[in-house]
Amino acid sequence: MLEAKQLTKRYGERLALDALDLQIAPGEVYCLVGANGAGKTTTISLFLNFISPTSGAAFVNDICIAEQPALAKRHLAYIPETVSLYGQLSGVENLDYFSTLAGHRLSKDDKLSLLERAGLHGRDANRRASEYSKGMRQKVGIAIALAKNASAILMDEPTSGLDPQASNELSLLVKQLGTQQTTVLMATHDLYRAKEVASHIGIMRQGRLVETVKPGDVSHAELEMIALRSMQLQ
Amino acid sequence: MALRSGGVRITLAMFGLLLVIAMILGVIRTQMRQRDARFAEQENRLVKEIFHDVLHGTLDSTEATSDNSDKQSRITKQLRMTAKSPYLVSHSSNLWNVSLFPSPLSALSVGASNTWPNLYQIHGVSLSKTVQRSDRVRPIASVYGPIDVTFVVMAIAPLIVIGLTFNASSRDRESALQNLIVAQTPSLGKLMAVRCFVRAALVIGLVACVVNGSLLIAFASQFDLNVIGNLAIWNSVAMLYLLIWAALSLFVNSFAKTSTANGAALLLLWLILVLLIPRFVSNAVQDAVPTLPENELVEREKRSFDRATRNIDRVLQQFQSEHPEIELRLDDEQQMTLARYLLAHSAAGKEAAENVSAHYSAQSLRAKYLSFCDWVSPAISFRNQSDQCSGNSERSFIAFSARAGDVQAQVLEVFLQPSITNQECNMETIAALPGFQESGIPRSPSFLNSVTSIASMLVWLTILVSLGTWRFRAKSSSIERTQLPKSGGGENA
Repeated sequence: MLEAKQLTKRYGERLALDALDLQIAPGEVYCLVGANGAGKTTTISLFLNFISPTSGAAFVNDICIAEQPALAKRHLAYIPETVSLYGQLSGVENLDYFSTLAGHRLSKDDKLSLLERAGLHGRDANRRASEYSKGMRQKVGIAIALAKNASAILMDEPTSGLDPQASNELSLLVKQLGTQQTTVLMATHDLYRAKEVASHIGIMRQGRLVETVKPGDVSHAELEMIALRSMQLQ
Repeated sequence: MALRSGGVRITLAMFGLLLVIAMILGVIRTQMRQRDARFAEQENRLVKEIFHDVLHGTLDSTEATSDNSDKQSRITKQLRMTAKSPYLVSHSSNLWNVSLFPSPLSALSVGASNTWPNLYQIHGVSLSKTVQRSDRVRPIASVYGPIDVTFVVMAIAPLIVIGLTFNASSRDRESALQNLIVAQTPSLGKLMAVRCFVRAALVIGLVACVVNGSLLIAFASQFDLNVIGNLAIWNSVAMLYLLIWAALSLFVNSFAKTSTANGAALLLLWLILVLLIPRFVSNAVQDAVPTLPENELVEREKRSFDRATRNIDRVLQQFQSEHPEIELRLDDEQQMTLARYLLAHSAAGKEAAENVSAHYSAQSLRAKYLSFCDWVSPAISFRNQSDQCSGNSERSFIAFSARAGDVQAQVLEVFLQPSITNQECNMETIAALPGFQESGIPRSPSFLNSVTSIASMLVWLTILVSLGTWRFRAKSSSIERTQLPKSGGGENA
C-alpha cells in the first residue's frame, strides 16, 4: 500500500507539492493527471526518495520512505518516462544487471520470460540496447520493474512517446498487475489510457490534489472536461 | 562491462605491454648485475688461487682461465718479476672485489642502485676506489633512466585506474541512467565503490600477472622464503596503492560533477600526489640533510693526499711512533720513496674514510626522514616499500658500502706494512684475505617501515572509501541536486 501524509516539497519560494494526502490500496491503479508542473513527477520522486520531502511523509507498506529508504526500495519498482539502458549490453544483459542491483538473481529462462511478458520478443532481447527504439527500451524497463516483484510500481508517464500498440500492451500489463494485487501509481498526460486502466484518477494542480475521479463514474468526455477545467484554472 | 569497450581493451593492452617492457628491462638489468657479482666472485677466487700457488711454490702450474686471463697474467707476471715485492701486487688496480648479489626482485625497482653500486673493486693501497662510486659504467641504466616496474605502477597505473573509473557515477547521470539505478539498489555508495574497485582490480590483476609471471619465469630458481615474503609485501602495497586511486575516484565521483570535471580533478590529484609532493618532499629532505656530491668527496681525498704529501715527514714520524716494530731503512732511498708514497695514500685514505662515513650517515638520516613522509602521499609509501622489497633501498646500499669499507681497511692492513718495508708478505695472511659476508645487510623492508607504509595506505583507503560512500549515501537519499534529466536516451540516445 502507498500512502502520503501531508507530503510537501518546496524548492525555495516555489511550492512543488502542497500537503498531499493520498492512500492507494493493494491492487489499486492510481493515475495522477495534470498540467506540466502540477506536481505529478515530484510525487513519484518523493515516493522513490529521489528527493527529500520538506514536510510530511511517504509510506510504502507502512514503511516511512525517508527514514528507511533501503528497506522501502525493496517494495518499490520504478518505470521512468524514458528508460535509458547500457547501450553496449543486450536487453537480457541490461535486465540481468539491474535485477542483480536489486538483489535478484534470475535464470536465463526467467529473464526471457519477463522480457516476453513486457512485450520484447525473441531475437530482440539479445540485440544491443543501442539499437533499440524508445518503445523497446520502455519494455526492458517494464521487465526490470517486473523482475523486482515489488508490491508497488511507480510509473512516470510511461506511455509518453510510445506507439498505440505499445501503449495498449502497457495498459494490458498494468491491468494485469492490478489483478495481482500490485499497487500502481502512474503519472500520465494520457487521459484515455488513465480511464482505461485506473481504479482512481487524481487530478493535480499547482502541487495540490484538487479532485479524485473514479473512471467508472465518468465518461471519456467528462473526464477530459474535468481535466481541462483544472488546467485552465491555473 | 567496462571491458566491452574497445578503447578500454586497447588501453589495458598498451599498459600491459609497457609493464612487460619494464619487466624485461628489469630482468636484463638484474641478470647483468648478477653476472657482474658472479664474475667478481670468480676474480676473487682466482686471486686466492694465485696466492695459494705462491704460498706453495706452485705458481707456474696456475693456468689461466678464459674470462680472467688478462688479470691473472698481469698478477702472475708481477709476482714472477719479484715475488718478494708484494707491493707490486698492492699496486694492481681492482685487486679485490666486494659485491652485493642482487635480489631477483631487483627487477622491480631501480631504487638506489641507480646511484649506489653493488660492486666495489678494492685497491690494495688507498680508499679512493671506495669513494669513487660512480666510476663503474652501467650502460643499461643510462639508456632506460628511472623507468622501472615501480615507476610504471606508481605513475602510469593510476592513470589507467583513473581512465577506468573517473566516470563511474557521472556517466550514469549524464546518460540519465542514475534514477533507474538509484531505484534498484539499496546503496548507491556501495555500488559505486564496488564498480570502482572492480575496475581497479583489472589493472591490479594485470600488474600481478605480468610482474609475478615474469619473476617466476626469470628467477624461479632463486626464490627462497625471504624473496617470497618480499614479493608478497610488494604485491600487497601495489594492490593497496591502486585501490587508493580507485577510492580517490569514488570520492571525486561523489561530488556529482560532470565526467570532464571528475577527470580533470583526478588528473590534478595525480599530478600533486605522484609528481609534485614526492619531488617537493625529496627536495625538502635534501635541503634538511645536505650531503656532499661524490666528485667533492673524491676532490677532498685528492686534497688530503696533497696535504699528506706536503707534510710527509710528520706523517712518517707519526707512523714510526705508532709502529715501532717496523724498521725503516732510512738510507734506502727507493724504499723511503715508496714508503712516503704509501703513507701519504694511507693518511689520505683515513681522512677519506671519515668523509665517506659522514656521507653515509647523512644519507642514512635522509632515508629515515623520507620514510616519515609516507603519510604525505601514497606514491612515496609505494616507492619506499618497492625499493626496500627489491633490495635496492638506500639503507641496503649504505650498509653494504660500510661493510665494503671494513673489507678495504682489512685489505690495507694485509698489504701496507710489508709494502712499506719491502718485505715479503705473510702469504697465509694474504691467502686469508677478508671476504664479504652478505648476512646482516638489510635486504627486506624494515618491519617498522613496512607497518608505517601499509598503515598510511590503509588510512588513506579507509578515509576515502568512507567519505565517498558516505557522500553517495547522503546523495542517494536525495539526488535532487544532481539535476536528473527528466528524459533522455541514455547511452543509446
